Amino acid sequence: MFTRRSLMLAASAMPFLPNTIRAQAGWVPTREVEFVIPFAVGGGADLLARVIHKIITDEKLVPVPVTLNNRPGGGGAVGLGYVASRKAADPHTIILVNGTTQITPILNPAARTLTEIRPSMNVMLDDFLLFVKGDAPWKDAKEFIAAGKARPPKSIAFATGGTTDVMAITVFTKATGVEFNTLNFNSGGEALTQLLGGHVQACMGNPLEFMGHLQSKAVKALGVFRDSRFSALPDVPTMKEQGIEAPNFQMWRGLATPRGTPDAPALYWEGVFAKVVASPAFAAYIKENIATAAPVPGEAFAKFLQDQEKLYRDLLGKPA
Amino acid sequence: MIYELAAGFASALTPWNLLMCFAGVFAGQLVGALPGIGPSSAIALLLPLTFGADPTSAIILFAGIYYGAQYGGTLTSVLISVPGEPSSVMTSIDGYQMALQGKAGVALGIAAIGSFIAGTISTIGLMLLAPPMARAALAFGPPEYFALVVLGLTALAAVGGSVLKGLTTGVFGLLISTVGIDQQTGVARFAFDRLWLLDGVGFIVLTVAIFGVGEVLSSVGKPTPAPITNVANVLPSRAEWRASRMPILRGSFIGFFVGVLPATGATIASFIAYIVEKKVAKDPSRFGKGAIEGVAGPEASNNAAAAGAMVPMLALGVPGSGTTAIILGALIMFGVRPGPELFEKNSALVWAVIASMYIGNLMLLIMNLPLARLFAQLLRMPYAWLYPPILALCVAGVYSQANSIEDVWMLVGFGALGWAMMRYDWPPAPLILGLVLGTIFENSLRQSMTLSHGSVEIFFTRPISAVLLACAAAAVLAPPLLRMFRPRVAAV
Repeated sequence: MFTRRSLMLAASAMPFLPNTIRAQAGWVPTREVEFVIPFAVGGGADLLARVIHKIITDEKLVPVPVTLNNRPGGGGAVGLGYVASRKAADPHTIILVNGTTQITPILNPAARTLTEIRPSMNVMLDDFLLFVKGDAPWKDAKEFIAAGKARPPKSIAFATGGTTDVMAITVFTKATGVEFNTLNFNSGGEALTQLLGGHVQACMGNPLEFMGHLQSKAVKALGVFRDSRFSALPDVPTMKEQGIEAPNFQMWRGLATPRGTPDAPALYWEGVFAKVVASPAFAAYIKENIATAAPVPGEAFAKFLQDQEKLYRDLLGKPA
Repeated sequence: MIYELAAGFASALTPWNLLMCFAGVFAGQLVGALPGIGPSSAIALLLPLTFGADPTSAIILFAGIYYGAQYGGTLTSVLISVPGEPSSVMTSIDGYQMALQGKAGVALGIAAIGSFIAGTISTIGLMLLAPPMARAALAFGPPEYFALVVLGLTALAAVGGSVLKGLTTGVFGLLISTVGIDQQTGVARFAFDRLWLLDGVGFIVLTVAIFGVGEVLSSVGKPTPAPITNVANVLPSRAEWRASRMPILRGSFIGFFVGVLPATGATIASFIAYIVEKKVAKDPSRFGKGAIEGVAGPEASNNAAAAGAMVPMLALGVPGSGTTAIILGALIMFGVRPGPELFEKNSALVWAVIASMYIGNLMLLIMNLPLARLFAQLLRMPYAWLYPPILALCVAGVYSQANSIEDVWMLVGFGALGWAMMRYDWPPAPLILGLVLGTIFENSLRQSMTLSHGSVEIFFTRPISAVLLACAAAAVLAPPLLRMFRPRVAAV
């Protein structure tokens, strides 16, 4: 039985409790956590989620079991819709988000936007490079553009592996004024095959799929869309170095909780994901995928997403 | 090469790698038989568990799952008319008819033998021809894919009795394939603002609905067929073997060459093998009524295609199919950089995997002959008893592939359609064919037209595309022309 006096006593005793017990006054998951992957088993996004899941499990970062739930469909729209309608404000749910989940609702108004989630932590960034065949006549991006300007518009064909590659081409077109012919394929691998076969003249792609061919000189990289050179590929100049005023363009991947998650669990998950990004296993994953670890927590991540949304809408010609 | 192959066998025959090979083909057999779970999801699920393991063992395991699944897919197609994998749709047409005639054992037996022969032939092909074949495959751009799909679409008229009905259902399948996000523009079509329609109608959903649910529903209305008594025989008779041996050989070559082309794979290979068998048969009317060639050809070709798809993966570092894309991802996770130099730089791994494919195919043959006998016994039960478990398998399989209840409702709807189609004698296979080929048909057409700035000449000025289109034209025009000329020849 609590009396008024005993409550007051307890309250006055609080500041003197050791830190460990005070931390428990924050939030910890008490039942199974569901990790929603809005993409099919086997893709790049799924693989990243499974690596993160393995790190969380192996290093016992969470005291309860975490189960994976693939909800694929519609470029992330189905998974996001699932979290929006069934998991709102549930702190026992985490979801993988990436550029695709942000682009889908811009193109398809029926899909739920990222306002359905509370951004928790961006974990990595993927770069875009301009690739041509190894025996192509162009030495750098400048020569490539000069060739594009010398020919009638749309003479140079690009193969893409998805919407994000198309946007990288749009960035390039806006910066250079050269119009390209764009052929869309299912994956970066298919786009690469078309480039190797000589059916198209160029690709915009992430380093991962092209790395083996870059090393064997079957393809060469003419430039990268970032402000400073990429440490994994120090020989590839940035677009800006070559006098091309293209903005920094990278694709983000991160984690989130459902919209309306209270502050205490949100903080808890930020802490867990920070430990994931700091783990050696994650560093190895980043290295193998030739990506960049980029932990951006909570508020800053939300701000970053707002800027990206503006950039994407601008590139796709769909202002809000 | 002999030395490298011997070293490969030495590595593949270590007890641990033998175990991995067995685990792979066994798991592949299992997931192949279950509709919904395919080899690609099985590999993706196992991938995190193999981190830190030896890459050679892991790739042996994954490759085993991949070609093992081609064997497993046969089981359910023959026994209960539910294709476990897209590449087994053609098998179920004649295989299930054979089962109804009490020849399930032989159908499964010839599938296992054919798959073994084809798997071995195409592994030899992989070994001898990988680098030049892979370079040749690069000659396939959008116009060539378009022409190949047109050739595949000529199968619409070849499967099923009535040409008109076959074409109608085929075109309906093509229409269904346009539902969902358009790959060329990223905009949704015919999705009616339903999130679950954004990815269109899944192949698995439609196949399981039309073949599995439709078949069960239509059988319910008929008097129960008598339980089949003699099922023990799995080895084909001399006559059956004579009828199957050329289809197996042809299927092996078709499968290998089609499988080598990135992004086509086992499914289209099995379609083409089926048409070829029907075209060369002395009596094409037997097809659809339990022709053993209709099982042997497609089964050989889908297995050969699995090894074919490894060619671009190993020799070029580009995925030959959805499953090899995941195996490529696995290689990267193991720090092996796929690319044109894989054969030279990681020759120990490549040759161990090739050697394991010979071993794995042999394991599958040894495993499948007794299994065929065992599973064929299932049909001693009255079919009516099998209906509830079949329906349960259909629902569970469809739900498990995307955890989507809407897919289950689509299964119910298309199942009713499947029943109606069987009731009024509309062939189901062209519908599936239309759905599978529709997406690649549309995309390659639009990619080609973009490339040529809107000129159709591109299909006729590129030699490979022109030859393939000529073959397609011949496949459509030859039978009526022959019919026209035959009486006159007889009159002379």
